[in-house]
Amino acid sequence: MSEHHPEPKPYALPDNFPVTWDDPADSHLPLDQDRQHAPMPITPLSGWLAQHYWGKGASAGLAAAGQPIMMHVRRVNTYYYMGVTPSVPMEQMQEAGQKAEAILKSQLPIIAERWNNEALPEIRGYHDKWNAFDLRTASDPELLAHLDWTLETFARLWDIHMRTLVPALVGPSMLQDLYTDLIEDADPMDAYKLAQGFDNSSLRAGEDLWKLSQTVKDSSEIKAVLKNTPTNVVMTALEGSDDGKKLIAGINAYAQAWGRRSDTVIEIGDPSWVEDPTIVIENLKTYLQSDSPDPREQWNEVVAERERFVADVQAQIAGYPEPVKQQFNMMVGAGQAGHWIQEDHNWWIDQQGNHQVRQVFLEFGDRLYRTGAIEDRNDVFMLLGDEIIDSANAGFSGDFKAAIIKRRTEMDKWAKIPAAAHVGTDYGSPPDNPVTRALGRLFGWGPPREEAPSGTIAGSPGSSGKVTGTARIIVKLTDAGRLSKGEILVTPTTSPPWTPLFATAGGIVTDTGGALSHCAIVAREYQIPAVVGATGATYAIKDGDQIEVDGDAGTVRIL
Amino acid sequence: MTKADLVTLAFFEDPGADDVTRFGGKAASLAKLGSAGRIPPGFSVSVGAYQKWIDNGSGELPFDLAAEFKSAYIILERICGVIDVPVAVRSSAIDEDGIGESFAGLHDTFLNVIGADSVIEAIIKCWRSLGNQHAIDYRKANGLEIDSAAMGVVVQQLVFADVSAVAFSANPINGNRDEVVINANFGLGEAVVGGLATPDTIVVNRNDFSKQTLTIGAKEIMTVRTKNGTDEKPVPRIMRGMPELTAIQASEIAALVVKLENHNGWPVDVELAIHDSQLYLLQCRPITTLT
Repeated sequence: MSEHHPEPKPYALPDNFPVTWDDPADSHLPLDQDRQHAPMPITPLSGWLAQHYWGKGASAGLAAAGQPIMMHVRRVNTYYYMGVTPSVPMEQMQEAGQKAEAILKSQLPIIAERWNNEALPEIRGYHDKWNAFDLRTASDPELLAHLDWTLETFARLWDIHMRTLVPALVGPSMLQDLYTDLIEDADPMDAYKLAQGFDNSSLRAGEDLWKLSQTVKDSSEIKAVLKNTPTNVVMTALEGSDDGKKLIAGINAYAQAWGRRSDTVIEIGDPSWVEDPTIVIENLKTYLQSDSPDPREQWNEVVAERERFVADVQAQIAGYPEPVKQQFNMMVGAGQAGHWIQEDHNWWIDQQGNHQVRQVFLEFGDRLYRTGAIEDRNDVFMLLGDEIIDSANAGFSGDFKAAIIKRRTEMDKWAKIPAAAHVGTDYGSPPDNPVTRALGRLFGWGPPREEAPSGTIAGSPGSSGKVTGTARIIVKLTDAGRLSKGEILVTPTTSPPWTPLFATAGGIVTDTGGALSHCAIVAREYQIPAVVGATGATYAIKDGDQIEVDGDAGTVRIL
Repeated sequence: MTKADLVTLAFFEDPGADDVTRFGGKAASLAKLGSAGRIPPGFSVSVGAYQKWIDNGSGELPFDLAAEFKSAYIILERICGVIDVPVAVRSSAIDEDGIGESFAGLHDTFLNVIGADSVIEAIIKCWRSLGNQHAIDYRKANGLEIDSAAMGVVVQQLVFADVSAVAFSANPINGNRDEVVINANFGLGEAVVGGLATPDTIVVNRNDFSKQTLTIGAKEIMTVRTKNGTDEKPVPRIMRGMPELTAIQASEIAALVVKLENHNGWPVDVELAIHDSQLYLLQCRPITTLT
């Protein structure tokens, strides 16, 4: 970071997005709205949790990975903002950066081992403890102590997350750098073919749901119930027949196995699928309305393509020095591990971690509701953690009802106003190194794009291929049933719980993300064209528009 | 023109293979290295063979010579235990690599030549390179004869170098006799010998090999093997910052060049290859720039 840096200056804000800082010192942070992880306003409790425990855990994990940076989260005008600052003085940055790179290189060959042997057993231990704790029967002090442990463990999960993710993200990104350096005139996206086709929890969750749909595909009675009954009463309607009861059991079993997840990764106010199987049923409906093929068959093609491609590249570099060939083989391994861990970590940390914290706070919600402090157990998410803990320490006393109405009004107000992309202070572009390049490919940062021709929206290539179809704007997974087979899913972002939709969509367009985002990775696994990071797509494209998605050029055309 | 010498070819270890007037400087110095280090096997084509070719006048190789080269290649295949053994074919001029002058890189070299016919073709190309303009200019500038210049050729098993190095038993830049200087780069030697890339530089203290100063070079380019030859390719960005040699390898190289200097009685300029952790000695000549 010895290069010239422009003078820090406050980000200019749109007139309709003035910012008043709770803590004036926060105005010095460089904060970006993370639309990929939280496109909509988030609840106060989600913001509190992310600011205090997510940030703490993530920063500890980055430090453990040798990265001289810290992460900051602030809820600004109800939106989720994230910032990165150096954790060492600028004059030590170069030295720290070299150390970070050395640590990173030592970890790249053992990404999978570290996840399987260290991270996953530890995480499983925490989930076992959460699952074994009986929230209902715990005394108030026991519950408070459990919350304390829960928050610290949540931070620890995010510590593990960053230790894991730094090499797991940088691996595929460096593989792309290496591939394009080795192969002349290579299509950079081809590098990801080297890493595709590894089993992961997103794909297994999608496959299991498809299998569940196949158990009833020959029952016209069940199909009629699913087709004609509003989702919120499907379960009741299914009670009427033996086949229906079997499907209920199947849905419940699926929810138990894969349901400790919800729409997004930051918001803990959304019910998980265990609590509300709406999304499971919506996906079943979609699978049954058309004959979705067995995802495993397509999957085998993806695996075969990968193996052919790896062998092809190895043949092309057969005459290269041994250290280069070894580096290539190592980086292919790192890229492959990085790809499936990108999905698996999300299931074990982001999804299930949120689910566990949510369950604990819901118990506080029940107790606050019983004393009349709030009107509904779900209102607990409209409070800050400190308010909840203070109230619980005083026998769940207090009255938050008026404050909650005010906060909800505020969220509704901001939801109608697009959030500023950046708030706080602008320190210029981050330095170019393997970690910032990988982050760029996750979040879709990059050099300013060329002005797109009129009627065309520019994004990044996410998954190869070209497709034309009807645009379906879907912001929340609860709307998943609106997507019909072959239609183009247009959405601010996707996360692993969205995976079942990839079997239905003919193509995908997201507002956010880059070639290493969840959406791009999974679209490649399902071999459907995807354009990611097409800023403003969900505003510019209208539901029902005919659009053309060019996953190679990274452009979307409204026809 | 003198009558052609009857000896047309010798393997490095054969008696007389170290005769510079017969085989040229490069070939003779390889033969003289003997057991100094591990040397890839090979044979030298004599000046006599060159003169036979010239005397033939047609530019074609006389039949008996072709047969001899073919059988030498087959013997080399057996020595190496490799069918279609890839070889390096290098020119070895009579007045080349003598103390005082170095023709490094002026005459043609062909790497990764496979099969007897291709080897013969490469030998003829080497002979023809005797007349190349760079070499003629160099001869003129150094006051060497042009008309009587004659050419031997070295045919040697190609080591698939993971790393290639050039090492000097004295610092060729500042003349410091207490410093061994090593330049190293990924791949075959052309990129480092031909100065196409900025290699890593390791300066080793001659009196204490553990005292080393490493400067990582930009390593823009490396020489890689293609199906039947070589090509220059960019070194992948993520490997440019990696050191080419371990400290132990640098010590091993330093020990070898000091031994070669002591053996020869003059400071040496040595070409080396490392493959599968084994160090190979490819060339040894005097440092021509020391004062």
